[in-house]
Amino acid sequence: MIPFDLAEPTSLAAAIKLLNPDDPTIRPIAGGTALMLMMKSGVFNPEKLISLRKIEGKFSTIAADTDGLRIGAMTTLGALERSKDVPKYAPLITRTLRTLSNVRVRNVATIGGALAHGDPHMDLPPVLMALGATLTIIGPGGERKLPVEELFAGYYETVLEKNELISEVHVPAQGSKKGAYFKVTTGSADDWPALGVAAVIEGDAKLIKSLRLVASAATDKATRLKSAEALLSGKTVTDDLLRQAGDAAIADCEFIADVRGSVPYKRELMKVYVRRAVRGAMDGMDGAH
Amino acid sequence: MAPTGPSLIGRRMIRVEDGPLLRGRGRFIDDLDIPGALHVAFLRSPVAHGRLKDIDASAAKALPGVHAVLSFADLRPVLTGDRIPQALPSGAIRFDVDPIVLAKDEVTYVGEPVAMVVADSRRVAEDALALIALDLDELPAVTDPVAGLEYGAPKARLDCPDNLVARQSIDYGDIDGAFAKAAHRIKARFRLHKGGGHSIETRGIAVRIDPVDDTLTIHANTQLPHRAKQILVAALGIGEQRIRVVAPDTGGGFGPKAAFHPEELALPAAALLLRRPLKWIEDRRENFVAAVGERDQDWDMEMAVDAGGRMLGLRGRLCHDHGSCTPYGVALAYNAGTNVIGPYVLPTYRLDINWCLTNFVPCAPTRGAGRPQGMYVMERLLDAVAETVGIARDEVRRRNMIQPTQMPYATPIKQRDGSTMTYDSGDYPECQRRALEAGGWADFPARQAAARKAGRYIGLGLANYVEATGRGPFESAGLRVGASGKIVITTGASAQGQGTKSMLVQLACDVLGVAPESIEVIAGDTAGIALGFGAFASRQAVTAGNAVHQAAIAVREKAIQTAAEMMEASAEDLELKDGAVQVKGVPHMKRTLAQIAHAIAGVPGFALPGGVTPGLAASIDFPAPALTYCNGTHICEAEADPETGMVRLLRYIVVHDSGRIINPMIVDGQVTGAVAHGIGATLYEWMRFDSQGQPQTVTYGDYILPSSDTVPPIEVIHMESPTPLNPLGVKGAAESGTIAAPAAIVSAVEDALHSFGVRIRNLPLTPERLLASIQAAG
Ligand SMILES: Cc1cc2nc3c(=O)[nH]c(=O)nc-3n(C[C@H](O)[C@H](O)[C@H](O)COP(=O)(O)OP(=O)(O)OC[C@H]3O[C@@H](n4cnc5c(N)ncnc54)[C@H](O)[C@@H]3O)c2cc1C
Repeated sequence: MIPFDLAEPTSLAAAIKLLNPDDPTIRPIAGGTALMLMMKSGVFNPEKLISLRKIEGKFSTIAADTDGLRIGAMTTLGALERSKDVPKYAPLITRTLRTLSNVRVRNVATIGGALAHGDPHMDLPPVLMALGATLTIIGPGGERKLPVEELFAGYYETVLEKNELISEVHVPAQGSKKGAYFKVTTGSADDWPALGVAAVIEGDAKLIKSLRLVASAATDKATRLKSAEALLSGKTVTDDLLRQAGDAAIADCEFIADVRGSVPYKRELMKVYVRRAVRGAMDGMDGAH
Repeated sequence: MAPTGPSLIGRRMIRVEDGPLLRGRGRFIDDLDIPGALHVAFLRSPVAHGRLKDIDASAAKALPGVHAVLSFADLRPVLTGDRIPQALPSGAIRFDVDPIVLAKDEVTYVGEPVAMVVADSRRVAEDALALIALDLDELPAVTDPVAGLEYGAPKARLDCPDNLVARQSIDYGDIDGAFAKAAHRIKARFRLHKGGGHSIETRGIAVRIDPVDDTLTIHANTQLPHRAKQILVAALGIGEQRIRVVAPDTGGGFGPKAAFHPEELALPAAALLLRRPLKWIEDRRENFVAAVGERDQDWDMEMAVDAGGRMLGLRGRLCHDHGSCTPYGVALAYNAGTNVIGPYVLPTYRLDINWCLTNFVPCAPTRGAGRPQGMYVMERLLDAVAETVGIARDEVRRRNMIQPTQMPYATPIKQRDGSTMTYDSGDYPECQRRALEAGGWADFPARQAAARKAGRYIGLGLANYVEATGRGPFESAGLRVGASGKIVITTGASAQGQGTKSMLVQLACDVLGVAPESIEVIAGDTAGIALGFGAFASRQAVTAGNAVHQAAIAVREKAIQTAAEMMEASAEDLELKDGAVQVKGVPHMKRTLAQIAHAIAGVPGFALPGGVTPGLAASIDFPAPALTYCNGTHICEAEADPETGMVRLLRYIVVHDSGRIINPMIVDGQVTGAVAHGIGATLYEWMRFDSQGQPQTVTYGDYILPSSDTVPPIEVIHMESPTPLNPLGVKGAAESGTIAAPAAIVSAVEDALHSFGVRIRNLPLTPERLLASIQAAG
């Protein structure tokens, strides 16, 4: 590994000052679980890393009120998993964390890193998108808000500038909405998924008033399945309708092949799991199997 | 003289290895602090095949902290030849392609070592790698063993006239006659992948050079230290007395650590050149690309049966992906071919085995060593016969099984050394019967129907196997009682976590009546004992176990004889108990083993008591001229999702017969671990390459191992048919669990999806492949 400098600023503002919008060899590092792998495999050779570990504590706390959850970007996935508030306001997140990677990774990886990394195989992006979460992003010019849905620009690409940092994630309370996340793995349960499908549904046992459906892993980036949503919203759910929704979802996605499945196989999975995710959410099965 | 007290054989004794390992006191290769050691990193070929024109290391050599950058030309002066002399003899080999220490003028697989950097630290060494410029002309690569043997295929190596590196055949009986009279013929083609060894500890080597003694000590986590030494003596052309190979605690072997790898010569050669101690620890990516393992076999087979489903004959062709050179002989595919017959009577058989050179890391045995593939072919064909003839899967097997009254059963198969493959003992029908009973075979159709009503697809699979264990020619052991009372066992056997030392200690304690703490085992050290082999072919309980057992008996007899002289008693009146020879029934009249050892260590000027030979010690080279065959039956219950092709294992039962069991706890662990390996090979593990020979799965994120959520509870039931071939009656146990797992799992999945008419042939069975089979059948 080629040597690099490490800065450990004690405030987010100071961290931003150390970043350079035009220099890709300077990068923020949070838990380091994704970045270190890239460095070890030689994909990324930094000149300088800006550690976020010593910035203000408020960026690693979870606040909850009737509006939902405010999660500091430096909150570890482990803290999120063990939080008493998260299952009250967004139980779907707690379910997702149970099969996200393993306890060693969750104890150091952060929610900010899980979003900023832009890897389409990750579990939280589709779930946060389905929950309608928004980000607070801080840059040299101040603060801006961005729906998580608009964060991803493509395969490992986000719309973040190189001198911007995610400071907080706001998750609206799930309330009466039902949710499911199906992590479809072709290996073990905590393997990377071949497909992730998140569904958050407002409705009763049969009728869908409104819903958000998001797919990941099979696709180049976490993707809202808008055609499928349009087919389903306001409708009484039948097997036939779900089948149509599955077919429609295919058209919403840019599929990618990897060792977990070819494009045709991932298409098949998508058809099946759009149906299972909607049914799962409506039947109160959160997708953990 | 019979041992006193209850026998320790068959007891669940706690392993002697566990205490130190659990307390973090293990000493693995990377724990060895070698004073002044420099660190090595290897530059590896980035392409599968190419002509190596030039290596420009000037920038790398200039990097501060770099001591040397060495290529083939630099090492050659301290070597006796261009190639590493490690061929295992075989008439089947058409071209000798022994591996090479570092690529000379051609690279033949991605990951092949091309140059080595020696530096102050591994970090600096790796940085220097990035500064070496290779001038390579890429050549077409052979990436498929079937295509590689076709006319006009590119050559995997420029120094061989074609890719057919070896050819074997198994041929007996009137095969044409058998097919002519067959009621049914079943054709099937299998493409069988098997993954690597994937021991948790990667390979590692540390070399110490002692300028005073002018000796080289090589610490390496090899399964075969004595063989490594033999190769080093030949390759470096220096005397046996100057080279010592010693294996420290080792975190798993599973086959790949049995083959001698180029790095094992590169480090000692570089140490001789530089006169410095060196260390290299393989990283995980290197382990994926440069450690040997298994890969693909393509079987094109046809079976002939009579109207009742009895086998008449089997014929076909096996194409084996050999990789780019021959580090470990040509046993792998031959094992697969001979093991096809398993516990069955196969009257006629013809198999042509073609070994194809490919541009991949050399192929060498991993756990099971070809037998899982052979057994899979037989068991899949038998399931197909059952279906065709319209009888149950257990019945077709019963009709074809070798009966216990036929034991010892001489198969018509010739082994590699020309001898007849003869099954020594076992009761195969009874083994299957017990497994069916434990697996609830008879009640399963009702359970399956009920599950079906609930929308679930469950199935039960069945597979049998036989495994040749305890390969010779011999293994060595020495047992010596010191004047301190401490007992030291030295052996050529080596340990990678199997509990080998515990097994040997248990056997010695059984004979000598001493506590396990009083025994020290030195295994895997060429300075401990002159000759030996090590760990392969499920052999160490059979070979080293019997050697230690006999050595302990010899020491016991000598102790009693000496004590009789010392106490002026008759040997018949004495017994060995609790570490002392005592007068029977008079425990205070005794001589401890320490006293006896002291007495016959000798005092200058005094004769030894009663003229016994010096030293309370014995050494035995236990010969194992014939293999002993263990066997078993696996039952697996699986659930399949016909919409996605996903498979989940629900239950797993093994009835296993490895003869007399020394420590059931160790055997349970071996069988369970081996089944897990088999589950991985069947459902998850797949070392993938693209069509240019570039590896695609070089992390455990992409290469999936079986894990606690995918391996179901495994019930192991022991059956004990002692072998008549050795005094202990023991057979090997460590690989057998892997052998039947692919066949049992796939049988269960086919059963679960029976209504779809799914036929599964290829391994691994990924969800994607299964879904394709379902769609093809529907
Ligand atoms: C063995 C293993 C298994 C895994 N399995 C799964 C899995 O099953 N499912 C899953 O979803 N994920 C999985 N992961 C991925 C894991 O979730 C991510 O690595 C982790 O979330 C990244 O967070 P981090 O804090 O470690 O990020 P880092 O590695 O520190 O950073 C990742 C990227 O985000 C940037 N970054 C970090 N924080 C910020 C911020 N606040 N603002 C802007 N940019 C930022 C960094 O510059 C870098 O580009 C696995 C990882 C490992 C190592």
